[in-house]
Amino acid sequence: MSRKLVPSLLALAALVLAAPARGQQAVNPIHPTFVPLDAAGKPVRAGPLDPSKTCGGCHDAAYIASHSGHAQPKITATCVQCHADGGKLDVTAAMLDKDGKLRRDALRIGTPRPGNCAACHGVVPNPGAAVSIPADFEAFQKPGGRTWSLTQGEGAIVSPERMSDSFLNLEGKSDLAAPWDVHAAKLVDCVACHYAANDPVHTDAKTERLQYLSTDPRRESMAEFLLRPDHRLAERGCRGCHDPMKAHAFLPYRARHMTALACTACHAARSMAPATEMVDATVVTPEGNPAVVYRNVDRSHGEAIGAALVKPFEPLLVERAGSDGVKRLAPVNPVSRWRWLSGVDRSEVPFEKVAQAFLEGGTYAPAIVEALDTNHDGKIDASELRLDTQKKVELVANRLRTLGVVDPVIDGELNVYPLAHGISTRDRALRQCDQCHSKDSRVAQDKYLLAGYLPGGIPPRPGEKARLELAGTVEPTKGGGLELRSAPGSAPAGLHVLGHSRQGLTNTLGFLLFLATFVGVAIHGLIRVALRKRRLAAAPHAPAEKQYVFGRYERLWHWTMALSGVVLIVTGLEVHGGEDLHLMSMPVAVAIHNAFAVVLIVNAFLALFYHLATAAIRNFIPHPHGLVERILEHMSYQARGIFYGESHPANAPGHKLNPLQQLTYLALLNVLFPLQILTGALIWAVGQWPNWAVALRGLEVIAPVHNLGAWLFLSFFVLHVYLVTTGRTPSDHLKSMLTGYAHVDSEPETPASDIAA
Amino acid sequence: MVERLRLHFRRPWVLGVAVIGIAVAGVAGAMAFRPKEPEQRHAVGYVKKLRPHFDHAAVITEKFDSPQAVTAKCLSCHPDARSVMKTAHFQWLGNEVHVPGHAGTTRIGKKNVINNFCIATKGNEKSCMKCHAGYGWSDSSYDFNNPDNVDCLVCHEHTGTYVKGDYGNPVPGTDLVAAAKSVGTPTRENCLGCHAYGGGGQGVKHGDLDSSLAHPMDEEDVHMSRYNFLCVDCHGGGKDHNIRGRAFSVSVEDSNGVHCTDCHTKPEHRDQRINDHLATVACQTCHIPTFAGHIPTKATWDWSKAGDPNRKEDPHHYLKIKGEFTYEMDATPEYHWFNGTVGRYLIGDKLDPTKVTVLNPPQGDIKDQDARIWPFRVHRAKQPYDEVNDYLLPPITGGNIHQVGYWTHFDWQEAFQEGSKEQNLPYSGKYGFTRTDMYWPLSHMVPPKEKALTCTDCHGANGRMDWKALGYAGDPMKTGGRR
Repeated sequence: MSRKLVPSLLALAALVLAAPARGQQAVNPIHPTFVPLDAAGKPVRAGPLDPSKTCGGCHDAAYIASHSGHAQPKITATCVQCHADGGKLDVTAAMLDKDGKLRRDALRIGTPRPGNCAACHGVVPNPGAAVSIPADFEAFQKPGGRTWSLTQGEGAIVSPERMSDSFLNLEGKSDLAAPWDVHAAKLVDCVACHYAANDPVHTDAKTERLQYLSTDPRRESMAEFLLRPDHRLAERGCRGCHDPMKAHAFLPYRARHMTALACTACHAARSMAPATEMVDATVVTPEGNPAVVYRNVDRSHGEAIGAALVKPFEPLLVERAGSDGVKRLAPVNPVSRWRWLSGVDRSEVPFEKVAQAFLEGGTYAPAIVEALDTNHDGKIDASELRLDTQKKVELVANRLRTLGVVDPVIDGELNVYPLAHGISTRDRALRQCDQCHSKDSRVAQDKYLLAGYLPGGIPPRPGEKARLELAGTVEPTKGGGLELRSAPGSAPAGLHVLGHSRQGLTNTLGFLLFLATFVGVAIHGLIRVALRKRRLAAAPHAPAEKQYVFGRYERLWHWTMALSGVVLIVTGLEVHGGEDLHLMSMPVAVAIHNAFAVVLIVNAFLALFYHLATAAIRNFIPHPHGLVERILEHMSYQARGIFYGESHPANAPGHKLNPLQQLTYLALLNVLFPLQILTGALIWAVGQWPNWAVALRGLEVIAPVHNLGAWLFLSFFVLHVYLVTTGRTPSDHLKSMLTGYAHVDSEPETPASDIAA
Repeated sequence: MVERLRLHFRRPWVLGVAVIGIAVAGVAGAMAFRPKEPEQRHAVGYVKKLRPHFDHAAVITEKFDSPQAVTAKCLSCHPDARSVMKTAHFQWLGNEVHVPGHAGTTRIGKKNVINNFCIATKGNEKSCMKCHAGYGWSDSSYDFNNPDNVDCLVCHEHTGTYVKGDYGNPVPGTDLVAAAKSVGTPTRENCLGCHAYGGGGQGVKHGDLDSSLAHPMDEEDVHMSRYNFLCVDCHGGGKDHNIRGRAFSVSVEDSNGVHCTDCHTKPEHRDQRINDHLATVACQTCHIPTFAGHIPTKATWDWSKAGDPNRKEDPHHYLKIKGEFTYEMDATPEYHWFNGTVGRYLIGDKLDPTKVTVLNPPQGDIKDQDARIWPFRVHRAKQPYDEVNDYLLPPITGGNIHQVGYWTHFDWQEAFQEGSKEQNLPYSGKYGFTRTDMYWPLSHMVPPKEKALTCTDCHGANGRMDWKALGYAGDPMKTGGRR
């Protein structure tokens, strides 16, 4: 079998096996039988009936037409299209009884079934029918006619079928046991969310609500509703039925996630249906269709879309108001379309004309081949089928002119499709934290391709449907296309995404401070090591006696503080780095960070109480008398004397700490500690009560401050550990904090010692 | 001073313990308040570990002049193995049970019931006893008390060359020594040798047992493929050759049965709506979506067409000795209420020939709280009955040492006269054919969970359940469950 034959056979098989839209509507057991009428109001014996005359006999057709999203000037859906089996009701003699009424068993009408909606909106097979890509999937879509917007636009296939059972060629197909659409699989059909606005079954159908009323009993009766159903269909979002706060137990900061993210951000994150990137109707494929480029399809030249490998579709996340009016990050698919316009009124050139300009007798016209075949192999492949030079545009324009098109020009339009359908099971939802909380976060694709190339070099203008602003800037790509770019480390809507966002100033500043401290102590330490022998020769250790200086509680609070500090730094780095450290998962890091923050805070307050109660607080308060001299003395010692074995300058009488330590600790305990505790608590609060986030201008203000504080704390930690080694021997100070005993110079007039750090 | 010094030098570990204690408390606190991951549910802990079996090649040294000599040799070391003589595998009779619709209790089994396949074993020992775990059952005088009559090899030999022939004796030329040397735990092939071929061929009786189970693929049987189960991993009772499990073609009650919940102790599904089904739907209903997936099973059998010498023979469509058949493959089960017991047509029971007689009607209905909706493979037949006495007739077909039957002479009258004599059942001399059904609840060939039924398979417009027939007002998704 030739290679070309296989895909076409597959396509044929898909076509044959795809169940036609039949059996959508069961026989309606209660709808009164009626006489089908034609446009003139005469009974129909054979052929199609006139819906407005026939149905309008009882239902208020004028009201429905003026209260319908499906009766706009462009869209002309009839009663029969949406309510009759297969969207058709062609009367035959066998369907009529002796009075000319439709027989009961021919009365296959009712609430729109998915198949009715599918006839215009996308791939929506009937239950039990295998999913395949319809043969006319890539055909030119006339305005107001059949579109595949659900599938091509959103990457949705509304079917209860397991993806692994479909006729599509999916990546990792054998493991895709989840259904295409979990709602279809659980018998939630289109009208469950898109119901008539005044359907009395739905208590939320009334738009006006009083705060103190949970429901409004003054509704239309069923009879009134059936007479005048308001066909402006509801768009019940996810939250119309689901309460996300009652699920997602695995998720830290649940409320925060639900405030910042639309449900679809995680639940429509890797659809397996072919989603369109661009439709180029300025050219024609050998099959007579526009050239369609998909975002998630690996397709070799000439391959049928039903045979090409479909990969998970990763949408663009933008800030968008949901059906409840709240703005959240939601996934969208930007789709660009190019076509030929003509004349002064810039009306659309019929695609048949464009096809005539390209194809002659089913193959490309020689002039077209000559102009487009850049590699001169006599064929036009997918990468050549584009009008990327003015010469090519002119050629096609001239051919269109000879076909009677006046003044042909290329027009491009960019439409944005919010993803709302084809939601699979929770197993297909995003679950890994690092999908968002990492450098390569999904919340902010640094580059998102809008179009791989620009037909005729014409950038697409935003279409009527592009009602939302795309964050970032639109830049040309190397290949002549367009992409959406945003700064690295940023996120839409100014969100601060832990593990992803990097607020440049504080982060860099903090890191530089840390680096400077590290380099400083490294140099200081190296000099000490280099001059060690000379120092010992010049000034051997003076005789010293061990004295009990650190009480049990002092050591306990010190080591508790040390422990919680180290744990906070490690887990904080893990959260900040977004699992890049790979020590633990993000939820575990967050939980440990919070727990040890509590340990630190409790320890700090107990220690404060101890120091106040025992008056040991005095150790931390610098003695004002001769303070400046002592500071200079200590600074000069650290800068010079320490290398030559000079003795440690004396502290103020009765003070355990030297003035440098006192100043450091004053800053640490009075500024850094409260700052970290406060900002940390606020970050926690923002997660717990997301409304606070708005009041506090969100994490984007608090988080960088906490981040800077952490760098300061880390710098202190490095300095502190280094100074521990500056005792008589490198481990001398460490031992004293373990045992409580320190070497104290034997001079009786120096009561306290140089207890380090 | 020295004393104090020593005292404090000894203490640092107290500090260490305290700080470690705080660290542990911190981590424990973090873990306690950590967001919860959903629990994993799987019966994988029950996956069986196969034991190597003692190699008998060394202890089998003699030549055997009869299969009974092999049994004697087995029993010389395994005297307790005589326990198999009490089981249905040897007796072809179960325990004393009450059969619904019949007075008192009785013992029933393959020995004395009537089915709608080859009908009855009595008088047809020549062929039927190929699947008897014994030797030489040739007529009703068979000695069930002679231990040497037990056939150990059919279940325990591993050569795969051991084949039973007439009256349950090994076919002539069988290498008994090789078979005896190879013995071990019953393999899939040992069990399938009879249970996959019952009724005279592959897939005739069970729709959910056939030779594909010897080496199934994942989608055929998840237990026997992915988890490498043997039949006896579920059906082995352990002591006294007690093989657990019930075939409702010959049993009427569910004692000593095998249940999914024996291992799947926590069958809760993640979706509470599915768990709500557990009170009304058997596990098998969703988890065995179709049966006879790879090898077809017999759906209908019309004995009335037998004996036509002019029809072309084909084991799946027509045989002169048996009549006309249809087979089905990858078939959708029928669904009925079933409480684990069935009724039973016994020899001599009156029937209404104008109606379909169900030989083993599943018991239970929508009001029976013990009943669940089960999947059934239903075998439909037309089989002979006595037109005057209105009961089913057991013909002699394969015959035994005393007589040849229908399969040799193609004479129904002779077959019924001799057959009725065997059963002490008066025969009027006038026979006809009547419709009978047998219900086989499905429990084998469970595919992986990804193949299980989902909502739309039963609910909604194209569901496979006949809600009205099951006793519901409508689709219970909308009209509510049975309570």
